[in-house]
Amino acid sequence: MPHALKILEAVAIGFLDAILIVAFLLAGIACIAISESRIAQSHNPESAQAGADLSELLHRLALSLKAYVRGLLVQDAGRFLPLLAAIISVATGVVAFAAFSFGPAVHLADLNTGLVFIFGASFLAIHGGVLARGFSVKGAPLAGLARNAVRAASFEGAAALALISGVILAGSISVKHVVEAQLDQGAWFFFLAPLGFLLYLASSIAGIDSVSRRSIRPVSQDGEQPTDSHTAFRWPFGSLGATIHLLIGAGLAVTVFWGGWLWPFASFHDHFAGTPVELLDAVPPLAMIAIAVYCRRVASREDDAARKQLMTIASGICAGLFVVLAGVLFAPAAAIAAVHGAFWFLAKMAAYIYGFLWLRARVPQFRFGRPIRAAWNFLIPLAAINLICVAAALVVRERWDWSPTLSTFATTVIALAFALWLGLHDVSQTTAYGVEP
Amino acid sequence: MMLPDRVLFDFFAAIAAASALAMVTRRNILHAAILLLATLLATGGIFLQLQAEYAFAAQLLLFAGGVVLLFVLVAMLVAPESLLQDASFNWKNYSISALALVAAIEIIAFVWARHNGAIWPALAALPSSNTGAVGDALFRDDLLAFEFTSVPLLATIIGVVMLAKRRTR
Repeated sequence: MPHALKILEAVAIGFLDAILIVAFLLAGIACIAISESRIAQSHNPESAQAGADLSELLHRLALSLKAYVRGLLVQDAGRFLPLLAAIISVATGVVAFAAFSFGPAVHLADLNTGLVFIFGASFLAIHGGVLARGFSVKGAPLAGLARNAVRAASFEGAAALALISGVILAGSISVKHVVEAQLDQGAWFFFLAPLGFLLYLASSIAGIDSVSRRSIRPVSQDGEQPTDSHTAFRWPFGSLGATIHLLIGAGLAVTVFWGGWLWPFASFHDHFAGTPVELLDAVPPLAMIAIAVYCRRVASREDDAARKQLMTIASGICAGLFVVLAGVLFAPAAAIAAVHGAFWFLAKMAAYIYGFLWLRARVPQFRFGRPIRAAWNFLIPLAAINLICVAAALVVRERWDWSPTLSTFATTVIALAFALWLGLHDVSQTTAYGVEP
Repeated sequence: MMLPDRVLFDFFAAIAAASALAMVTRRNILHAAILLLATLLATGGIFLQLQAEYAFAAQLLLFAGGVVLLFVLVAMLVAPESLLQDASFNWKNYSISALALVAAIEIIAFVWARHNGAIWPALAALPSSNTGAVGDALFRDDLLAFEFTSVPLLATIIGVVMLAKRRTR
C-alpha cells in the first residue's frame, strides 16, 4: 500500500511540475510573440503583418490546430512525420526546462549534469527542424535540408564552446553549482568572460535566425485555413518550437553568464548588512508596482479594445505579483531568497530576450554560405581561443595572484587580437575547404 | 528494486526494445532514424534511473543529438533517393537478420549463465551520483587510453579534409 501511495505521490508531483512548466512556457511564448511584433513594427513600420496580439495569437494557434486535427483524421502516412517534427521540437524544449534553477531551492530537477542535459535536449530539436522541412515541402531538395541541419548544428557547436568558458570558471556542469560559483567568486561570469557571452549571443542569433524567421507565415485571416496542412504547420509549430528554444537559450545565458537567480551585488549582501545594499530587496516589488501603474496608464490611453483589455490584464497580473513580492519580504530569509531569486532570474531572462529580439530585427539575413562560413572560420576558432584565454586567466589568478580585473582584461585583449587576425585572414582563404561561396 | 523503479524500468525497456525492433524492420531510412532516436532516448532514461547522469547527458547530446543527425545527413548526402524509396528485400537481409538473432540469443545465454539463471542481475546499492567518478576515470586514471582513442578520430578528420579538398579541385 505505501508503494501505491508513493507512486501516486510521484505521479502527482510530476504532473504538477509539468503543468507549471507548460504554463510558464505559454506565458513566456505569449510575451515573446507580442514583444517580437512590437519590435518588428518599431524597426519597420510597414511590416504590420506580424502584429500578434494575444487574442490573434490564440486564434492562429486554434486555426492551425484545427487544420492539423483535420489532416490527421484523413488517413495519410505522410502526415505522421510532420506531426512528429512538431512534437520533437516542442517537447525537447519543455523537457529541457525541467533542469533550470529558478532560485536557491526553486528547481524541478537538480541534475548534476544540468547544463549538458539542457544543451543536449535543445540540440535534439534539430531533428524536428529536419523533419519539418523535409515534409512541409513536397519533394524538398534534400541537400537543402542537410544544409539547414548543418547550419543549426554548426552554430550550436559555437554556442556550446562559448558556454564552456563559463563552465570552466565554475568548475561544474551543475546548474546549481554554476550559480553558486558566481556568488562565491563575487562576479557574474559575464565580467570574467565577456567575450564568451558575446560569442554565445552572436551564435545563437545567427543559428536561430533562418529557422524561425522563415517559419513566421501568417495563416490566412478569413478563418478558412489553407488546404495544405503543411503550410499551416509552418507557423504555429515551427515558430512555437523556435520560441521555446529562444527561452532555453536565454535561460542558459542568464544561468551561466548573468548569475542565474542571483540578485545584483548578491556577494556583498552578507558582508554589508545594514547598508544600502539591503535596499535592493525592495527593488522587485517596486519594479512590479511601477510596471502595473505603467500598464494601467497605457490601457487608459489605448483605443483598440483588445489591446486595452490586454494591458489591463497585464496591469492586474503585475499588481498581484507586487503583493506577492512585497508580502514575502516579511517572511523568513529563505523564502525571500527563493521568491526574489525567481524574480531576478525571470527579469534577466526578459532583458536578454528583449535584447536578442532587438538585435535580430536589425541583423540582416544572409544566404546559406556566409553564415556557415562565419561559424566555422570565425566563431568556432574564436570561441576555442577564448576558452584557452579564460583558462589562462584562471591559472594566472590562482598561481600568481593577479587581480580578476587585470587577468580578465589581459586575456580578453589577447582573444580580441586573435579575432582581428581571424577577421583579416578570413577573406582570402575561404573557398579552399569546400564551403560554397 | 522498488515498485516505481520497476514500473519505470519496464516502461523504458519496452520502448527501447519495441522501437529497436521497429527500426530494423522499417524500409524508410528516415523512419528508421527516428526509431533509433526513440531507442537511444529510452536507453538514456534507464541510465538516468541508474543515477548515471553523465551517461544520460552524453547519450542525449552525443548519440541522440550528434550521431543520429550524422546518420540522417549522410543518408541525405550519399543516397538522397533512398530516403523516399523503399529498399528492396533480398536474401542478404534475411541472412543478416538470422545472424543478428543468433548474436542476441548468444548474449542472453551469456548473461543467463553469468548470473546463475537471472537475466536481470540484482542492482547493487547505487551511489547518489557518479559524474565525478566518470571524470576521474577519464581524465586521471585512464587518461592515456582515453587520449589514444582520439588518434582514430584525428585520422578520420584528416580523411574528411582530403576528400573535401579533392572534390573542390
